[in-house]
Amino acid sequence: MIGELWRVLLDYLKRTPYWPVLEPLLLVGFLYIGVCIVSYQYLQWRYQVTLDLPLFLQSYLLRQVSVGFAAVVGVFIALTAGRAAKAQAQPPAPGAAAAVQGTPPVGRGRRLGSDWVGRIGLVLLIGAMALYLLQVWTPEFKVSPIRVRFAAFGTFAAAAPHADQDRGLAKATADYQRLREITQYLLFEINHRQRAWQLEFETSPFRSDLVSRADEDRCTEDDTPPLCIAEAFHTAMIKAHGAHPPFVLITAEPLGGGGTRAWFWLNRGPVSVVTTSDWGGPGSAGSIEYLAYALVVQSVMIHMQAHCGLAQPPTGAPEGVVVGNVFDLQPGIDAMRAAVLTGHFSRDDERRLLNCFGPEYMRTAVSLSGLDWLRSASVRDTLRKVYAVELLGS
Amino acid sequence: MQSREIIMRIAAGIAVAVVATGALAAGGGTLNDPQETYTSNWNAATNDGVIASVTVQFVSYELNSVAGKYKLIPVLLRAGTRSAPLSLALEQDRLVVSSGGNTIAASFQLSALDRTLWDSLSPDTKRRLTYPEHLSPNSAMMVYAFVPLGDLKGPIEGFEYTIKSLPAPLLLQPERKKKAAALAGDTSV
Repeated sequence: MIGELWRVLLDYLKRTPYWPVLEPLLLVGFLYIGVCIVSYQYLQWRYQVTLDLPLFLQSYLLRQVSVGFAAVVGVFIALTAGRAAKAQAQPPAPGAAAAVQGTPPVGRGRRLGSDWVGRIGLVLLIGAMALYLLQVWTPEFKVSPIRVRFAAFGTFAAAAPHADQDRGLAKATADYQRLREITQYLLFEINHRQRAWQLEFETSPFRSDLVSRADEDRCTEDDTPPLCIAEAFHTAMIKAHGAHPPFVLITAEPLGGGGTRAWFWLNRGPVSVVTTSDWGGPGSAGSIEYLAYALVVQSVMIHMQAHCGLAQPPTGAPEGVVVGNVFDLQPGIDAMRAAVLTGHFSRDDERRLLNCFGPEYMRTAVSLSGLDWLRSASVRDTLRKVYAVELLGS
Repeated sequence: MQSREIIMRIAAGIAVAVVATGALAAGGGTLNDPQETYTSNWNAATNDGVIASVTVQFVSYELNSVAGKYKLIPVLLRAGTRSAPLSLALEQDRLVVSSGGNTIAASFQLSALDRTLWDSLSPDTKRRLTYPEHLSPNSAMMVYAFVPLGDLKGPIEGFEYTIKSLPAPLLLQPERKKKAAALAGDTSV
């Protein structure tokens, strides 16, 4: 039916006086659509990613394909434009032919040479512009690993515990140690299941004296001491070694924040701090899902700031309105629990991930934040048998 | 005839090698590295399979110090088969050194003793000196303690390592004396 309609339309167009102009335009249009369809299918085949149409239309891939196609068409035009007209001008009139024959061959050759120099110059210009745009729009395929480290229990405690709190403290410490062991296993699982980024686990505990006395004193006065100390440590490590991967510090104590109170996690540039305190402590139900979710979100947050030109952590819905996207500010444990159970990125965030890091990273981030890997039978069995842990909703 | 000569030469070579090896092995004396290992091995059963030991090489112990102020005591901590990791607590665990008839408290936290010295150390050294929070079953690690040099007035006699999560302190005694005592016990029987 559509083919029949198309044939009728073409027959009509062929009969119009505009056909000589329309024909090349239609040809180029069909070729362009064909190239776009092939690139879309390549994406599916290469990365096992099926993008919905709006996302594909806003993707770096369509932009790159369009630029590449335009460059090829431009080069073709640059090399062929005007040559057909010249060819039609042959054979010249007898008088003109005599005149042409009368011109010296050196002058003709020079004209021909300057014509080709102009065309090649145009080809080079088109090629340079296309390469520049392709390079600008190429996603960052290689992102830095993220170092994860646990702070020693009580590192950021406001005051030493009383003697009657001792028993509770011993249990909380044991829970925290167990959470550290399990987290190490989960990081290895994440690394095993994808190659978009690596999570490194630092085995020695983090203590506040790892930064200088001056930094420690300054951070004690800070609104959010754990983030301040983590940043000071990261800066010191870069100064000492020249480079240090971005890192996520996990602590059992609250993050501070004064009157506004910082919940769950804080991030600034390459450093994040995650607390188990706001989830109800390291031994509370679901703390493993929470921590796995937090580590994935912080990793993406750090990478996005490093490579997507963001000056501050990405934010989701406005404060007080949440739909469960990973970058929403989740007010309180109920909203956070719901977000952890249904972790997902918004359409805008998916587009940003695709254009900043490419399809593989986007697929990995979406898949890891959903925690399906954590709830898979093999991981759940390991957690139950080796660590005696039941996941939320199991 | 020729092959017989070759066999004879090979046999002679082997004989010389065997004699030379025997002569070298028969050399007497001890290595000029007197040392003593203090261990809690003897009461491991009462401490859930946890063993601590300190090996003191006397020459380096006598001559070396940390910034001229502290002696470094490296303690090897080993956990046997246990149901749970051994919890360690910086604020609650204690190491006491018996020296010259006195007991001297050591510290696992150099930053608390001398912050300026601690801040001058490299990040890697700080990381290695950081007191751990736990020790997994069937594993071992070094923990480092510091004793003020001025308090050490004589030879080391032993250590008492109190780990809050263990039922009793680990008493580290010289291994050599234990062996000697054991040997003496054997001959008397």
